[in-house]
Amino acid sequence: MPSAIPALPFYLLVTAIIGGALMTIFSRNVVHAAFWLLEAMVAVSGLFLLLSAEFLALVQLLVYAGAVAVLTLFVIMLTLRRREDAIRPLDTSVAAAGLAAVFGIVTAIAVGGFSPLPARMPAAAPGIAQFGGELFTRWALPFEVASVVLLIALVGAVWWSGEDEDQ
Amino acid sequence: MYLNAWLAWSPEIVLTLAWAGMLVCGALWPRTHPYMRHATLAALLIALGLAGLVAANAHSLYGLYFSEAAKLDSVTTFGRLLFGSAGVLVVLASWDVHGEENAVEFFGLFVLSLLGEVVIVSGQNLLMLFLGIELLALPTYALIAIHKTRARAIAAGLKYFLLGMFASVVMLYGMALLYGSLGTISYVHALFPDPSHLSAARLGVLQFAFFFLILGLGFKVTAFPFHFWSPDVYAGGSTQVVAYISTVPKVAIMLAIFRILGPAFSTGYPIAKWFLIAIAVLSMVYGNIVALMQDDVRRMLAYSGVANTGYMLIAIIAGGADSQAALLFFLVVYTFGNLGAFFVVLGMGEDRHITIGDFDGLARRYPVLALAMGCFLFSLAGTPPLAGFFGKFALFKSAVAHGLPLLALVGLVTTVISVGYYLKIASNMYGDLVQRDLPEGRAIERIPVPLRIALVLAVTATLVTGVLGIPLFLGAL
Repeated sequence: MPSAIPALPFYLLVTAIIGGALMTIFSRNVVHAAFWLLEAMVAVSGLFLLLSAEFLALVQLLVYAGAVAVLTLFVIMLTLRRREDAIRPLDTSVAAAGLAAVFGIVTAIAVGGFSPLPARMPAAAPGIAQFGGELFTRWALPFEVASVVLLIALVGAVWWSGEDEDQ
Repeated sequence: MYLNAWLAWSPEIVLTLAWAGMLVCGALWPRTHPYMRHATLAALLIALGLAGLVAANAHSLYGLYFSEAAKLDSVTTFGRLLFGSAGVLVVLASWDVHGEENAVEFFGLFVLSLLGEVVIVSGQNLLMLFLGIELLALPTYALIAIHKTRARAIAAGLKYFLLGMFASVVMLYGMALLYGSLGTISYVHALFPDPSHLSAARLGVLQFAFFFLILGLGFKVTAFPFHFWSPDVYAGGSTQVVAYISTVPKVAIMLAIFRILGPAFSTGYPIAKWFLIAIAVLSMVYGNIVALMQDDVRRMLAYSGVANTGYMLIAIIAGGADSQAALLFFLVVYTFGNLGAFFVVLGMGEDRHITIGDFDGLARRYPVLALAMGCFLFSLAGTPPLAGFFGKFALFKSAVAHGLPLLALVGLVTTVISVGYYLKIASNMYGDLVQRDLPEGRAIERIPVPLRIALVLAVTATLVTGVLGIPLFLGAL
């Protein structure tokens, strides 16, 4: 595994992520915005791939690009009644922009002020098999708890969206 | 070893199985719905009994389990017993309201939420903490708006859900940064190492991450700048659920914070310490002063909860074993006092805002209810013969012992302020014993028997902890 990641693909991906995020905000058409969001998410999975984290790249693609983006499009489809409704006004909120700017500056100062962390990259990136082994031995309990959490989310969502019995 | 693990975690296994059984039975046989409450109560009592048995065999069962993911020790047992007892009270208070409709979802989700708190308290790494908080919070997001037809409840539920998710994400960001700077998420040994062993860069990221972690956790325990959701949610949500989320989750997360930061945290990280002190002081001052101006009792209790979070933070800032003991005692006092106060509000009716005026002349019309409310209020205020006094005394004493006399002073002054609003209700309840021609307060429908039992149990708990506090107090003099 190389000690540094190649610069050109990194900057290409970063441009794609930031550009996609900006276009998500500034697209007038919500369907276009959803597709730009999808583009940014796919680019993030490329970043994971660049770091030799194949599993995370796969998860990113499956969960975000596959499920979240499709879900967003479904919600848009189900809530919009006319094609023209997809065009939204660009309301610029000064307060939100200010807050985002403050957060960005603080983060930049906080992170930029530190000398680069001594990276402790492993000699070889652990593969998916190793990851699976860890997940089901050392991290078995958190894994099981996570499964219960997901089940609750499912039950709660079904119950919330269900019909009211008392009506 | 395997058998030990089964025995050690039997209370949690019972609760999980009970939930699964309820879900399946409820879906297959609608006729079982009225018995969900019985099943929940039985499961909780069995779990409490098992937790007691486990504690009795501490020498063979206590220790680290599941590759150091969870720890069974006296704090975990404390959590199990306190959450279980609080759970029994909440189930009793919900007995009639959710007896038939929504029974499976209400009681099932509630049991799992309690399970989440045990995960939080017993967990030994940040992943378990996060999963525990989600396991605790997801059911409450659904439960808070159990009356789906009420606009107020839905607004409260949505607000709680969206802001809660936001806080979780911020907290997760902090955890990721912590992992990046430390290379571990386990706090079997203190998570924050002695700062002199860390490079400046690592220390910087660590403190940056600490702010995000506290921001997320502060939201969950309604500390001052992150409390803004609680008055609306408390006023709009279902009262039993509000009684629950205002106490038990806060207790669990406070115990987890104590575990994460460890006993020696505040000596090594001055910036982080001042950050916590600022939050504690602002919570105490702001919570108590704003509570004075409230007319809606549930909003008032929400601000009183913000103030109490400030008191709890005192113990975390002070650190050390004596502070931990003080914190544990205070948490018991707070849980039963606050649960009881909300149960009285529940008994007065849930269909609209309960204001302080509704308590006018309560003592003449419902002397027992007024006496119970007085007991809870004076305990929360910290009036000497009741448990609250000893709890606050122990907290302030630990602050002084660890060189933070000013923090104790702020606590003392704000406690005096808090007596103002607790007494306002008490004087409304008992005012007409002195002065005859006061307006009548709100008439109350018959209070269901299970809720009465819950009230009696809460009063008993408040009085018993008060009695237990006396030797603690005398020993400190």
